[in-house]
Amino acid sequence: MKLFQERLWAGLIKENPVFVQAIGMCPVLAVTSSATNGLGMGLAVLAVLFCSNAVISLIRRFIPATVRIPSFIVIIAGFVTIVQFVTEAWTPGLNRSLGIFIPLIVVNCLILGRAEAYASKNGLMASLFDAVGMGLGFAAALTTLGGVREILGAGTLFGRAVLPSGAQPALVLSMAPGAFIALGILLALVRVVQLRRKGSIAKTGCGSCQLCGEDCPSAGKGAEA
Amino acid sequence: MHWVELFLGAMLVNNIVLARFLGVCPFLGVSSRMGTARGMGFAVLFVMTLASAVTWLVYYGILEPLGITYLSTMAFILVIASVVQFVEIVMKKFWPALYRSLGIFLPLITTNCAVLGVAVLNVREGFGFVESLVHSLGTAGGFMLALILFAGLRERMAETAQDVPEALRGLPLSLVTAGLMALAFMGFQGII
Amino acid sequence: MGSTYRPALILLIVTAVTGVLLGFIQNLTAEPIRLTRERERAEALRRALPEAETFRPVEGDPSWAVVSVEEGLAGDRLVGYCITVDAPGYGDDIRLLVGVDGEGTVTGLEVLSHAETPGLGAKAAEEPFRAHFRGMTGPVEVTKQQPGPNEIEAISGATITTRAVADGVNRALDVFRQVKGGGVS
Repeated sequence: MKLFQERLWAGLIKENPVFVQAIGMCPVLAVTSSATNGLGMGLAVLAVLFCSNAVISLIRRFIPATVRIPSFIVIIAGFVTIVQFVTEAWTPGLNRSLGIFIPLIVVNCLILGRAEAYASKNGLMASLFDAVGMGLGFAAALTTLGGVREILGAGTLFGRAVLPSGAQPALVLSMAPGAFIALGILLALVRVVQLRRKGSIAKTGCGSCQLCGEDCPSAGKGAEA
Repeated sequence: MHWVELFLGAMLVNNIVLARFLGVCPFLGVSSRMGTARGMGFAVLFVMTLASAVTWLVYYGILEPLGITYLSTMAFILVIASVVQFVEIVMKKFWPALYRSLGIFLPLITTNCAVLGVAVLNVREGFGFVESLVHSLGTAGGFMLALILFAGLRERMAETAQDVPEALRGLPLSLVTAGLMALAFMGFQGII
Repeated sequence: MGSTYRPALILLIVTAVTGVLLGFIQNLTAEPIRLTRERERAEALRRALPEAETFRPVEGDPSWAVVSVEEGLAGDRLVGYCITVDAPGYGDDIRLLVGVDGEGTVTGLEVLSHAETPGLGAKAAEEPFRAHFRGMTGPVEVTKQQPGPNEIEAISGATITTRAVADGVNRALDVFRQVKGGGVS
């Protein structure tokens, strides 16, 4: 249970995939126009991550290094397709609002990153704990960002009005530019806290995912983009 | 006229990075210098167009006749991975100079969600083969445009980086800058 | 030879197993997905034309340029039509479902899909705006003043969206007259 707490703490706070590691940015920006969408996407990613970490941890010894990444991607794609079926059948509204970002969970570098960095090196239980921690961290971050944007951009939270009726919400926050700006400011706030507490900013980057190119630690350079 | 509309729509109005939020990672990751931004832009242009063509053929030539379109996500990502490998091998052999300048970007493109995103969009919108090609050319053009403009901004910003509060330096300020660019790109909405 | 072919073989196995399992799951979920789609469609139809109990598709003349036409029946009596049209909006096409009763009065308007600006054009999909169309007989005009009968007040900041919806409703009413007058076979 100690390990579980450790992974939960890492995922939610210490190594939060969005606010600290800054990975999987596309859905973070795209679907967070409301708290509901953010939570839905977060849970979809959590489900895929949970299943893929489990399977990859179980078969990690049988997969040769040369085809490791393609095999992982195929397994992840399988679970993503299942999530797509399930949302389409039972939560059609969510399926519509997440749209193309459900199939795109395949290339979310959080999932491939955890498969590479954790599940392919650790046992089943540890990998499951890791998936729960990281998945919840991702979901919490998306819900937070979605909530902030919904309150300021539309004056509602989870669809219920929260601002006094006289207040005019800043529409731009629910549109595309607002996504970038709100996330930028939230990241800066996280860094203010980090600076206060530790005097330095934790490194961002994609872990072992190859997506980010030259600015990634994995590409051998500093992470400060 | 239809083609021009489709092309400009994909490039400016529904800009892949600034309006659709695809390919945000490479957009933030490889935009600190103009040279690398240009390289990445061309590599994406190359792979995206080729991958759209192949995924379209796979979808309408294999998946649909067999009634297994539900495997499309899996098939597309495998196709993209293979196309990237293929481009890498061919380029290395026949255009070594080009390979030296673009080669390092190619492996990064497999998991670039913009490439998979365009393939999925082509199918969702029900585009024909030529429409798909025009759409992906426009999208890739939009990616390149956004990336190069952003790299230009960031090169300038780097000169005065020391004046920025420490917590805002780097990624947070990049995101806010991208937000202002997205605001400017919203001006294209409604032109078509 | 084993060392060269083994990785490829394993990748092939992983792909095949995933593919087959997906096939199974697709089979399991195909029925619920179909039911959900039908239920959503049925609910939209019922909201657009509340008087009708059952709906039946009307075979269309392609020149209508509409998505689909359904006639609504209460028992055996024809009580109206549900007409689905696409109207080019500010973002993308707005798909509208317009309910029209036997006299050509709009009974309900549903926005099935749209890509309008959140907070501005997207208000067109909300009930307060859609409700204004109920009772109109067309042609619907867009106005920026206090709306009279058959006039719809433009959503502030989203005149193009308002106009698109009004055009869509007008087209649906045209189709209604064609269906009614042309004696649908």
